[in-house]
Amino acid sequence: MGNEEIAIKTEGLRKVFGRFRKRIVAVKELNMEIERSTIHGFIGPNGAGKTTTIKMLVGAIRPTKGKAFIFDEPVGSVKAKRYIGYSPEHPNFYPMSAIDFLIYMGRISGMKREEARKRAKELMEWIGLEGFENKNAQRFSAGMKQKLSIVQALIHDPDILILDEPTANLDPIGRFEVIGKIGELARKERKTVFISSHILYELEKIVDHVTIIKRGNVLLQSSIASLRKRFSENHFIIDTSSNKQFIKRLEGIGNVKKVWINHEGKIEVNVSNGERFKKELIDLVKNSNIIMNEFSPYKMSLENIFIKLVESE
Amino acid sequence: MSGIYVVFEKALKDNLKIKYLAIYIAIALLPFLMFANLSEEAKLFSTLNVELRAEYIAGFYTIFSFFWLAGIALAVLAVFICSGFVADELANRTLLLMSSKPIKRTHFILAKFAAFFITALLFAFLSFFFSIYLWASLFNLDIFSFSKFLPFILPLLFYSVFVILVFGSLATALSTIFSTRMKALLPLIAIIMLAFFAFIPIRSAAQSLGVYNKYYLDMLDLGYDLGNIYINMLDSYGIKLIPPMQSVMGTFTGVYKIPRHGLRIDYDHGIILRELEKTRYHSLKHSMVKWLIAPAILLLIGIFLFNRKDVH
Repeated sequence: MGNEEIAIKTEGLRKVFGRFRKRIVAVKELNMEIERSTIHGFIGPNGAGKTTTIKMLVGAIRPTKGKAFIFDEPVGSVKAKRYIGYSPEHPNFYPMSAIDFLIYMGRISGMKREEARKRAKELMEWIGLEGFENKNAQRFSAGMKQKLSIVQALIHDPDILILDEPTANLDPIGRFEVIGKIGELARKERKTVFISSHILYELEKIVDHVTIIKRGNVLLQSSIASLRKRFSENHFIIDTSSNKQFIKRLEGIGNVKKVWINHEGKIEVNVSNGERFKKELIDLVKNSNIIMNEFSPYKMSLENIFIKLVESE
Repeated sequence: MSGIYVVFEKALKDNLKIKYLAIYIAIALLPFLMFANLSEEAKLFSTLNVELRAEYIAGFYTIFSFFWLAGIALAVLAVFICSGFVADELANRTLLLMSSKPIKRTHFILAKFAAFFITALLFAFLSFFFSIYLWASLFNLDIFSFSKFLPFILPLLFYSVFVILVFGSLATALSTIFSTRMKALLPLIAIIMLAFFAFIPIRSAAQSLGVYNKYYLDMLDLGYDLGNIYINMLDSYGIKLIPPMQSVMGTFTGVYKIPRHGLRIDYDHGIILRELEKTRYHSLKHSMVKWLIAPAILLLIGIFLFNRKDVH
């Protein structure tokens, strides 16, 4: 406690819905720490407990057991809520114009009317909703609702953005655009972003940390850099003038655990000792007539890491 | 505190729409129009002398106000607005967003309740104003007769505050306990029926069989308690109903004893020979406590449960 660098912290967070036979453990025992000014991806398969966790963090759902804090303030408290801006997975609004809705959300969070109006206009323009200020927010398309929901989360300029599937209803172009804008804003204004998404190839473009959960438990929490290192260490891509011939020579090295030709026709190799393999490879190339076109460490995608982790559990 | 005010302001703006007010006033005035044009009693008024006629018209207005203007119409308004406090927000999925905003759930509900209170009081006041005007126009009242209405306004407003608080609390409580408007509506309709209609046929039969007090049916007779509160409020402002009106109140609420052989009224001379005796099953305190304590407890339970509610 007392650490201002920790934006979100959970200690043995647990949520059980229903009783007796209808009892469902949505979140088992969640322990995690989200550092300030990081963009933190929160991923897991369907039913892993992502949305339930997020709802506990924003104060919509009461934990059955355990504790959670937003900058040391207990979740659900008014003080904790002042730090957060939340965009739900399926947002909906009051039957009022988009600008009035945003002003209402801003004022509830303590802003003055004119201040909220100014910020709402800026944010609507920022996210690409200019011209729709006076339209009924309830009649917006799903994608526009999603954008408006992100704007309402940002209206009071919170320190922490909690976004539950913020690109779920957007088309591919809209998804990249929104994800890019969130990343840009977070980095520029040093905001902490806690973001859940199923679309991992988008998420990996902005997140610097990730928590993977499965069945209400944390499988892994790490920075993306160390995660990549962990999953890509001793895994290389090789492309030569004759991969078919070269793969046979690679099979002869004792350090090589597994070697195969991937869907791009390149060689992928898993070794026991990466540093030793690099030296062995130089010798191997020297002693052959083969031309080396590419040698690089394998960069495993977040999606592949996720699949690998979830399947191994 | 600013969050409460913002929610209050929005709720008030949502409630105070000319369309809603027009519908409410039209519904509120309908029974007055029907009575004046269709009932036998209304035809009788023209045969009475000026003073008795004024007493009758004012008396019927008082009874209509009890049952309708400050009664069922206000109770239904409370049910209509308050039962949606939580249910509508849940159905609209806006409660999830609101749950993440820096406002306590208790404050959120109380802000909406305060907005309803102001709305209902304003609607009640306007419905009194319009109904008195309509009533006076329908019976071509002179200024003397019209002045008979004026003392009613204040006790009627106080009684309206009571009804608004009671039914507003009940509807708010049930709205927080149940997740859908329909689930909240059913018990509320049952309470309105119990308060205004259920004991009308039961009471007199139970009294004649001698089981009304013996089996504590009076404790369930919410209609009596409501009538007792209303009559006491009128009494405290020095307003006395004439015996025929007391008889009507007695029939519907059991507040007055109705003589077995009817009332002795000399219509020719405009003399009403005696006042009806009150039944006094319960004291005013008893009736007030019964009507206020239960909704207040239910409201506290509702707010407590709402604070713990999981919002999806």
